[in-house]
Amino acid sequence: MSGDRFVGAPQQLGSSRALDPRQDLLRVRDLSVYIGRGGETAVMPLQGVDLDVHRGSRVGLVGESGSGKSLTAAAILGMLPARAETVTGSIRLLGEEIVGATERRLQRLRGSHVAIMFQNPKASLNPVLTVGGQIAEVIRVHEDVSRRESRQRAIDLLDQMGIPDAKRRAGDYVHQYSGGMAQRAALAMALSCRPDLLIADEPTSGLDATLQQQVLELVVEQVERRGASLLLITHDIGIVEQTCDQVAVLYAGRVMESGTAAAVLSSPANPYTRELLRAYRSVEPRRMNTIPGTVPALHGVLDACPFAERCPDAVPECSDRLPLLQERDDRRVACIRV
Amino acid sequence: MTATASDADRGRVTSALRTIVRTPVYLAFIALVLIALVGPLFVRDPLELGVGPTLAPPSRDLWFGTDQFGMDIFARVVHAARLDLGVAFVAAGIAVVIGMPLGALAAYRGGAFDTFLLRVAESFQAFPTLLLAMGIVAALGPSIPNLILIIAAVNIPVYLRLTRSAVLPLVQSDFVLAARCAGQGDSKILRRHVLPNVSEVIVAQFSVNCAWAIQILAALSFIGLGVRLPTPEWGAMVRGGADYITYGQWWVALFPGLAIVFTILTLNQLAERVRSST
Amino acid sequence: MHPGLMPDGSILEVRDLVKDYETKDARLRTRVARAVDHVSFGIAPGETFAVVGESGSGKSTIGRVLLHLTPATAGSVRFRGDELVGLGERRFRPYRRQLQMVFQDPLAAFDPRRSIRSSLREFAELAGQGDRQAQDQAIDAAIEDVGLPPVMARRRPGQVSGGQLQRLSVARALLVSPSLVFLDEPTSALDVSIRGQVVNLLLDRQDRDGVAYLLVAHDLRVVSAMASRVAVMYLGQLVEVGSRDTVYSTPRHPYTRGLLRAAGMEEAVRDQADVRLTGELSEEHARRTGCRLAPRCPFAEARCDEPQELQATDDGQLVRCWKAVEVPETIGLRSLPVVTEREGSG
Repeated sequence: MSGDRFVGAPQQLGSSRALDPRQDLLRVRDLSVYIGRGGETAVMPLQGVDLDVHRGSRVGLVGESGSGKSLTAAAILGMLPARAETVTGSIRLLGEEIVGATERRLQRLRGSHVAIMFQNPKASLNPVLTVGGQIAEVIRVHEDVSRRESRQRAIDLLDQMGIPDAKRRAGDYVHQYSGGMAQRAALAMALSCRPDLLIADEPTSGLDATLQQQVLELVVEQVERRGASLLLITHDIGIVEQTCDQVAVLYAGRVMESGTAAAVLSSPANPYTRELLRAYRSVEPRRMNTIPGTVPALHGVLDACPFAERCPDAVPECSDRLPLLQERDDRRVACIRV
Repeated sequence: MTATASDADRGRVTSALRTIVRTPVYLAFIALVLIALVGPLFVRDPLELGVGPTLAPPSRDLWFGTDQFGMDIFARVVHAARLDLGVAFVAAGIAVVIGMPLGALAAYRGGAFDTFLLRVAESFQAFPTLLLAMGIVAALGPSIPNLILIIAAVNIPVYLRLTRSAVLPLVQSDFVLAARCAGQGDSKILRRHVLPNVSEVIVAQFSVNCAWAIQILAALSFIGLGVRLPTPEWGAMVRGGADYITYGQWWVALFPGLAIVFTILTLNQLAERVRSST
Repeated sequence: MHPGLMPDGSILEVRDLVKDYETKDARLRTRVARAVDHVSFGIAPGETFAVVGESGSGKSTIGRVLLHLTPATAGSVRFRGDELVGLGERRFRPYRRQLQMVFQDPLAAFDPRRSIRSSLREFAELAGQGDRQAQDQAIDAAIEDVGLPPVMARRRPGQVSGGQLQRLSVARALLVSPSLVFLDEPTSALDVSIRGQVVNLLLDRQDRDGVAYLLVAHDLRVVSAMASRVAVMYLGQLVEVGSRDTVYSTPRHPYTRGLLRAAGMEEAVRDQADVRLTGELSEEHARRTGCRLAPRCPFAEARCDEPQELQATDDGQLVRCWKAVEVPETIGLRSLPVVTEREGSG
């Protein structure tokens, strides 16, 4: 693999000190993101978000445009640009606080405890390095292994992802991979350092329908095999139905409902969840179910339910205050009518 | 409806003015233009000999000192602004007027026409600019109109290729196709939809090209092929004063040199600002 | 041609349409890719004919050839009997009042520097509205017709939300009262919860004005709501054509079945085994003389390498798969009506 020569060796971060295995894997409490300097009216793309990912579970974070779902992923990785955005609240990964953590600490966590897989695989892989080479590099950054061993592990990973002729393929560049293969390689990269949590941000958007299935099945299989957890971020409820056991529904920066996928998707409590499912599952001829209106434009601090103006169940009180996410039977819902 | 529209316009104008006043680059540029336009009214005759002793250093009366002929350097620098900036704007302007439509047409038509124009432009640009300019001056003579044409000519390929690259992605864009669905002809589409959408790129480039034009003019004058003394022109003045540096009379060459640097920096920074604000 | 493919009285008749593209491969050699490979179909007045397929199938290209936005390489496209292929732009112009399109991304379909009103005005001109006042009235009426306030016309595209902008795009296309509108993935750029707004709007206009649609989409639920007939396209060829009900309830071609399964719509499919397609769509497969799905199809065998034709069944469905026609039980289909006609390579 001649493409993996660097100017200087990658910085060795060493193994991170062992994090407490008894803790919840990911615990997000009251996460809010403000954009705008003090004085100007701040925009809040995320407000008071609560989210849990337990060991071994697969959580689907569903949201349409303007929901703030991708911002959540960036926040969990500690990758929001500090200059323009302010993050408040708590994000605890295995007990370790992400909000306000130093960059060095975050670098230790990324890759070895939490990894991410993006929407466009050809964009998340470096085009001038061989695929095997860059995966090997990531391994060497986090673990104390020899060059040869890291290369072998990279080849093994590609093979486990179902890439045929992995040894030869490891020496190829990204542009020589097809779309589906590139996404498998991106998954290999993300899993290379055995993270506890894999975040997949729209991993199948832009892929053909028949290919989407294959990639999703692979992701679930690999995550399960490694005993890791999955946070799947998507706008497509169908994907969540297929792959996740837990689901959280985001709207305009707020969690509207969360709980087990079986419960929420079969009998949604929040009107937005319900209407979203109705629209998604629409099958009648000559009519499609839809939600009238549009997603609210960029807004500041919410003082009312953001869905009120479009909600078929709305009452005047819905515009009076922001409903909190509360425990109800087998799930959590944010709606004053529940 | 009309009331709110003009209120909105007024609001936009005042906020635009406020931005201009707050940005140093815009102020510097305006200062340059003012100096070029009306500066000469406020200074001495730049060709008047013996205004002070020859080679007098800067003083309260003679801000930039005098040169070897006793001419007021300050007055000459101010007057030269008109020449340098004037030639630059006109030359760059001619280059835009010729290069931009050609580039847009090349991108729109494509095919052999496009390839032909592209090759011609590239050949032109392959020549070292200064040598090319020198050659043409040597052949045609260094009159100011000639200089303007020469500088315009070497800038045309720049606009041609710039416009072409800006137009190429637009040609296949959906809104251009939509205009075709509306039955619009090619020339209408170019005029209404394509050119307005590339104009921002052109404006930014224009400023850079003016800076380049000044450099070429100053360089030509410096080697004696451009404007000849005693006509005040920054490059020629630097040449005229270069010999005196070794004798300790630094002001003769320095001030026109600073003028060149300041102008070019302002123009380049202006281009940056325009580009980043769109 | 079989009426399931070309209904009697079709206003649009496409025969053996071919479209080739030249591309450069990674080594900068020029290669010819055939996006549309001898495709034939007809569209009856007021109906919605949907072409379904994944990216790279060539479906968008068909519409663009129809709208004269790209030239056909070969074949015939007749609108109300008039041949459109080979017409120069000037001779085609009168047809622009009859044939319109709605683009996939509404934000790209409007000139970002012009107001909505200005963009719509071009179409009002095409519709023959003479003076400015008449144009403005037509524009206002069109905008209200799609459920939006006319004052929105003053905004620029960037100031309008996606769903609303797509509705304005529909308003624009319908301004000239066309007979046929090419809908190029009209909801793909929109959120799931609002795609219905555009779909219902299009359906209402169709009910009221009798406009026909050529709907190209990969969203099978949108197609389910809108289409009267459906054609499934794979790597440049039609592999299955039939009425909406038969294609959704009894799909025959393995690719159609794989698509429905991937869309989670297999509950609509009765009594059939699941079909799982492996691998990916690839341009190399498009060069095969035989079935192009064979490299990915779980039922493929040697005979699949021979050229396959579209064959008709008793209930008016057409399939390009010999197994679906001759030995349906072996690929998990119920025993279905026997073949009565061979269709040729149409």
